[in-house]
Amino acid sequence: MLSPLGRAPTTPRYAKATRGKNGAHANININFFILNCMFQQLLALIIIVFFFFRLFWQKRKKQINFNEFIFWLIFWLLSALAIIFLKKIDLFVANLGFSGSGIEVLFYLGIVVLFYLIFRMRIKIEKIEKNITKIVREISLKNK
Amino acid sequence: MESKNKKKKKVFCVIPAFNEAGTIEKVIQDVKPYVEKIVVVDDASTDKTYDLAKKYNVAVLRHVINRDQGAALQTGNQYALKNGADIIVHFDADNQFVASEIKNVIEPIINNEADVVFGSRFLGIKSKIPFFKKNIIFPIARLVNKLFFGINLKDPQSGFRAMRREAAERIEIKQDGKAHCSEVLYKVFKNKFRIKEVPITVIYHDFGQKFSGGIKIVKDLLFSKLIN
Repeated sequence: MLSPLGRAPTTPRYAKATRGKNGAHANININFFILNCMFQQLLALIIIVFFFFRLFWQKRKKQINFNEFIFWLIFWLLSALAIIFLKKIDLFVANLGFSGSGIEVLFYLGIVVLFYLIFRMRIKIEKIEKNITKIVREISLKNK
Repeated sequence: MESKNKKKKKVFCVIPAFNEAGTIEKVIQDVKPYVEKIVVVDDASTDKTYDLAKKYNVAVLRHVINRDQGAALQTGNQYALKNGADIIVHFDADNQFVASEIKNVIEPIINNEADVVFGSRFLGIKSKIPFFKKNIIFPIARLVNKLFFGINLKDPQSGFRAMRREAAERIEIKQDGKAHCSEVLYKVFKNKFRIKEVPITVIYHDFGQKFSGGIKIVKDLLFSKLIN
């Protein structure tokens, strides 16, 4: 949904519009591009707002604890900021020397974060498994 | 047991059993003459293993949830230590070992030649080892033991072993799964216990540890290396 951002002018869809004879067409094209960008950003923001509400709703229903709530709050806030300042991020990322656009780098970062979270989760599961064994052992020795 | 002039050692035999209703009775009957006490650890079997073992005058412990072989062995070890075992023997419930060889396995400990004794399928006595296992799985297992622990043993994954009380106290089996073999080896070497390999016979009823099982062992070991 968001991937064509920043690259849009080179795709054929936009190229057609530039085939005009004067600058007016090009102008329309740019406007169209900006609109399109904004539309996608708006869509992303709407989705984020939806998750925001869901988060507060879950908090009120006490389905998640405080720490989790804070984590996701910050997560969605940051995503919202990233969407709003997408252009700035594009620029920043380009300055850092990445060839991709800002949103792509955000995706890379997202994957890195996911890997880290999975690793932590596995360690946690391993600990839980060990503890289950301990409990099972205690019970078996006690019942003897 | 065999020695006349030495103080009689209390030998406990730990038999982890998971769904071994078909063989557990025979194993108990076979092992009984050779040890002072048998400890069957029923690892939450879904068949009649627990009830069948209960019929005999042996200690039967029961895991309420299946925790796999390594966990069951450690449970048995702790019970044996608590009840004053001098020597602990690990024996399989699937009737693949020969009970009369228990006396060979504990002999080096009684004679104070070793602290831990491993039964080896590759020394002397003939075991019919499936081709795939002998030529592919075991060499890999040996390599893993060597890479991870720097251990050189003929039989890398022997479940038939005996250990002195002091060794059992120091060797806490933390690998719940089948990786306990490698773990015990590692801890034996780390604590510098004297070891000995004794030839044993293994009767393969079915394939035992499959290749996928081997991969799981490596995965377990890698993971424990990573997080510890």
